[in-house]
Formats: sequence, C-alpha cells, structure tokens
Amino acid sequence: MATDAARIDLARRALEEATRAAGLARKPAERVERTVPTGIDSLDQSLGGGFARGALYALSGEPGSGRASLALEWLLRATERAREPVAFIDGADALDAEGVPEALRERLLWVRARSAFEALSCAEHVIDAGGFAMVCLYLVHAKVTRGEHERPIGAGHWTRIVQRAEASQCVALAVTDLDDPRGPGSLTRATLHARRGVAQWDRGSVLDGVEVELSLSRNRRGSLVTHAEHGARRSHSAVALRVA
Amino acid sequence: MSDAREPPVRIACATVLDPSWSALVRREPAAAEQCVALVDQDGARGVVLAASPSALRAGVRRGQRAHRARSIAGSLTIRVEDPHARASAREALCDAALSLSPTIELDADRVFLDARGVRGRFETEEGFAAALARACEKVGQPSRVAIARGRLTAAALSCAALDVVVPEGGERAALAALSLAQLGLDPKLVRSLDSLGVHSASALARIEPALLAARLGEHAARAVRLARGEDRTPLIAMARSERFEERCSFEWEIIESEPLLFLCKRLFDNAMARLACRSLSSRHARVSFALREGGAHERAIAVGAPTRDVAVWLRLLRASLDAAPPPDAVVGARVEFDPCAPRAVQLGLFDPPGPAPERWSLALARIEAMVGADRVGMPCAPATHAPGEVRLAPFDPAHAQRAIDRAVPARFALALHVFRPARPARVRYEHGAIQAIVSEYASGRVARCAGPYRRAGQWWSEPFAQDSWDVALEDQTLLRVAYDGRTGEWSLEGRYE
Repeated sequence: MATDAARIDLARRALEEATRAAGLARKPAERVERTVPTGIDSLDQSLGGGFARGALYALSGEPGSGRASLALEWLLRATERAREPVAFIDGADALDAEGVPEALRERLLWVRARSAFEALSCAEHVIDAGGFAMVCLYLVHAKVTRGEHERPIGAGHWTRIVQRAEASQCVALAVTDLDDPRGPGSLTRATLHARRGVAQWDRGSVLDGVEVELSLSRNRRGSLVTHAEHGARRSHSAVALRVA
Repeated sequence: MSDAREPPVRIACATVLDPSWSALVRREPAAAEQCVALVDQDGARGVVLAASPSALRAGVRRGQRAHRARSIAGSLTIRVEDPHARASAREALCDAALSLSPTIELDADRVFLDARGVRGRFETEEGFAAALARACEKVGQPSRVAIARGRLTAAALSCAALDVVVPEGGERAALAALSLAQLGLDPKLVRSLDSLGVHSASALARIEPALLAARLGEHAARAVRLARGEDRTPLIAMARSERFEERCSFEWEIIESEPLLFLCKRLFDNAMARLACRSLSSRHARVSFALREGGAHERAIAVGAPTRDVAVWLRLLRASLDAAPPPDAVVGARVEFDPCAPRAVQLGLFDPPGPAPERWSLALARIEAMVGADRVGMPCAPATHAPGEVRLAPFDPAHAQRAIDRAVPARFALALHVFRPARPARVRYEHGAIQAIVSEYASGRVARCAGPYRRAGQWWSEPFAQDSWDVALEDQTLLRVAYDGRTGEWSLEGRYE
C-alpha cells in the first residue's frame, strides 16, 4: 500500500506531465526543500538535514578561521539546492569580488554596508522581499557606530531578523567575531564555532587553502538544546575541515 | 469602386460634457463635493468657467467675475484652470477611445472613432456607445456619445446632450430638433441665418444649398447639407500616442514629501488608468518636479517587473524622495511612464516563487536609499587590475533565476577579507622574501610566503604598480601583503578568512 508521500509524488508527476503536455511547464517542477545542507554530513545530521529554512544560525570564530569562505560555500550550496538567489550583506565592506566562486556571482546579491546597523537594516529589507534561499549577514570587524557614537546592537534587531526569516522561509546566517556580545545570542537555531587550522600550500609554493575546525556549540531542535561537538570532512574545497 | 462587402461608414463621437470641470475633477476629485468655482486666471478679474453643483446652487454662474462669485457664495473656493491638467485629460480621452477602436481622431475636447464592424463584439451599436461612455468615465472624462454616418453629424448630436445612435438614412430626422448653434456652425453664420429667419436645423434643411451659397458662401451650403444629414466628412486617423504623461501645477509651494506624495498619487492614479485602458503596464517612470526658483528636479524610478500598482510606485517614489529630496519648494509635478506589455505570470506549481519583482524593487529602493545605489548589486570582475577596484552589476531576480538554471561547475576559493582602505605596515624584506611584518592589525615573523604577484597598468591615466604576497605568520594568520612600486609603501591588503 502506497504511503502518503508516494501518493503525493505520483500526483506531482502526473501534474507535471499534464502541464508539460499542455505547454504550460516552464521547467521540471521541483520541491521547495525545507532544509539547506551544509555539505558536511555529520553537521547535517546534527542539524536535522542542514540549515532549516526560516531559522537564524550563527557562525563565529577567531580571525582567519575561514568564516567567509565557509559562508560563500554555504551560499552556493543553498542557491543550487533551493534554486533561489542568495544574498551577502557585508557589514564590513570586506568581500573580495574576485574570490566569489564564478558559479555564485550571478546568483548573489552583495550589499556593501558601512556599519553593522546598516547591514542589519538591509538584511531586514532583503529577507522581507522574500525569494532568497539564504541571507548571510557578515559582521566580522563591522563598525557598530551610529552617527558618531558606538552603540550596542540590541536584541530587537536580531528578533526582527528571526521574525522576517521565519515569514519568508529564508535561512539567515550571521557571521560574527568570536564571542561577540553583539551577536544574536540565544535567538539562533544553532551556533557554530570555527577555529583556525594550518594553511595548505599547493606544491609548496601557492596558498591553496586552510584547515578549519568547526564545532557546533549550541543546537536547538524543538525544545531540546544540546551542546555537543560535531564533525567535519575533507574535500576539494579551499577550506578543509576536520573533526573538532 | 468600393468593395460591396465593405461595411458602411459609421463614426462615433464622444464629447466631454464639461471639459474644464472634468479636467479639474480628474486632478482633484474632492472638488466635486465642495463649493468650488474654476476660473480662467488668478486674481479678482478671473472669469468663472465652471462650478461645482453646490456652487451652482449657491448662485455662482459661468461668465461671472471671480470677485462677484465670491460675494455670492462666501465659502467659495476658487481654482485656476491648469492647462497641463487639461492637456493630460485630452490624452486620457484618446486612450479611452483607443481601448475600443484603433482608428481615432481627437478634435479639441471630443474624439471620433471608426465604429465600423462593432456588432461583432458589442452586438449592437448602442452597446458600443455605452462601452465608450464607460471607458471615458473611467479615465475621468464623462462624455456623451453619438454614432452616425457622418463625422459632423455625430459631433452635432453628441454636443446636443443626446446619447443617440442614428441608423443609416435617419440623420436628417435626428438633426431636425437641433438649433443652429447646436449644429456646431460658425457663430457669424448663425447670426446671418437668424437675420434671414432660419432658427433651426429643420428650417435650414429645407433651403436649397445653391441659393444659400450664392448669398452667404460655400460654407452655408455645407451647413445645409449637414442639416439634411448629407455630411460625408471623413475621419482623419491620428497617430497612436505612446506617451503616458500626467502633469499638474500646484497652487501653493510644497516643501515636505508627504503632501507631495499625496498630490503625486492622483497623477499616478490617472496615468495607471490610462495604461489600463490600453492594456499596457510600465517598468520605468520619470518624475519631474518644477521648483519655485525655476528649473526642474528629475528622478527615475524603476520596478523589477511591469506593474500598474499605484501603491508600489508611490512607495518607490517615497524611498527616492527620502534618499534625495528636491532642493527647493515644489510648484508642479510631471510623471511620465514608458509603456510596455504587462507581465505574463506563469509560475510552476512546485517552483520556488523567487523574489516578487514589485516587493524586490521596493526593498532595493530602500537599500539604495540607505547605502547608495553603487553599493548594491551582483559582484563582477572589474575591468581593470588596479588594486581596490570593485564593480557591481544591477541585481535582477529574473537574471539570477536564469543563472541558477545554468549549470556552472562549482569551484571554491579561499575568501579574502579585504581591508578597505589597505592598512599600512612595516615589512622586513630580505633575500627576495618577506621575513617579518609589523602593523597595527597583525605582527610577527613570517613562516611562509608566496609571491610576488605583480600587476601594473593604466600608465596613460592613473598608473599603478603593485606586488602582492600571500604570507603565513608563525601563528598561522594568513595575510595578503602589498608593495606599491610607485610610492615604496607596504600595506596589508587583506586577511584570508
């Protein structure tokens, strides 16, 4: 006896064939995935299949720990999996356009904000517009001045990001400095920590990548909050990961 | 020799009931409910051209001087006729006509349409006339409609306050009840005919044209033929206008954006009604504000996809005004839309929706107002190797969606956290390699170094010559260090992140 999922799948295929026969189908229909895998199997298992759409995640770490590289890789995976554009809200105006993977360039919205506050407001607008699979809020070394004075980022900013992400079913990823008190704190679904490893040199002369230790320090699935270590992988990516 | 199957000539004429008043109400609908009189010029010597029902009830009449009208109705508000609003109203009348027939002719405040073959769509000519009246009403130009064999016959009947469809051969009977003035004759000819004892169209139709032509000229003979229903003046089709412009002058200066938006809303409403008449939409608009001290302040607004949603256009205008308000008080406004075909929506049932173009345009406008238009977009490879160059292309959700549909092999590279501007550094460079770095950001002995990666160019304008190294400090910090060959200065270009 066919399960509900199988029945739905059958119905979907029949509908696809009918619409294609009528010349109405633009392209093969695909499901809107509810999660965006990180590409790291053990991390995906811990997160329940990857980054859940409609949730906020935080990635923090020490300088040079591969956070921007990881964020760009996840953005590319998100756009390929969800077949939607992605956004990089750059609170530090620090992205190197030449370093953006070619496959990501035409699918990426880059906002060069001048401060963390500008970046947060821009992120709200982008998420609110809807249709983005993932929005990365890069706040590493971002200025936290408003006018002439330094101001703390209030929890209200992050609450609005969470609410908007939930409404538009977009993954929000905040990349911050290590233990930054201005980060999203407990509003995240999960918090990841990146630690710098050794650099990798191709044939001993050209910088090829860097090893990163990634750990999941906080993970909220339903009402359960766990604090556990999680694993990694080694790939062809410029950022190689190993078990924390 | 004409084709026997060709349908007989039928011409419809829609005449605006009260052109001056209609143009005012189209711009300012609340005027119809208030005690308002429209005058031809500012000041006490202005002559009343039209008045609202409540002003007419109070005793205000056309032709009165403004000061006299004010003395009759104490609460009377005087509005001066705006030629721009009148011109826009005429264009709107054309659009209403074009929604029903491709062949039209505009003559002052009336429009003629080729009404042949309308039975296929409207069953009867009465149905066509009713549809034309509704279309005119929709664009704020309430009109009377007449359909007849001849152009002048239709014009005379529509002017005479009659909604009428005259069958072939019934023109003379239809015109018989009209006065000479209602026939639309030259006032001088009407006076001459009056002096001869001819006061109505039926009396005029009984006179022999040749006899009257001998006394009063050929135009008198034409008047007789018109009264007999023998008018065969053809309709001269005009070129279809693709210009959707609405403009008005304000009677007072406006400084703040909120009242300006309120007044602009009416212009947007009218323009969108005209676009809707023609089954068109728009993606680009130009808004121009006339300034108090002379000159104009212009801005362009663009939406991600064609839309006729006034709320979307107004939100974009608000964002634009917030980002760059007019430099002086505003005394007039003009909006112009580039027409295009409406968006054909055919989304897949299971496809991700993608950013809605209207919502995205609004978000983009707000972001641009915050960070600047040159700081939002898709990252592109710059056209030069000069250090610090950044190039952004406009982000279009539709383009991004097409890019997603293309399969591009994913190749990852280590991302650089660029320092903008580059941080100054002191470097010990020995034996062809960097040995140590001292800077505000990172200092230490160099464990490994790759480079130099050399780039130079633009000797004809702003020359640059820079060598870069990838450097790993002993604490595993990865930096990109640059040496400017022209100034001899070292700097930290960025950190690998």
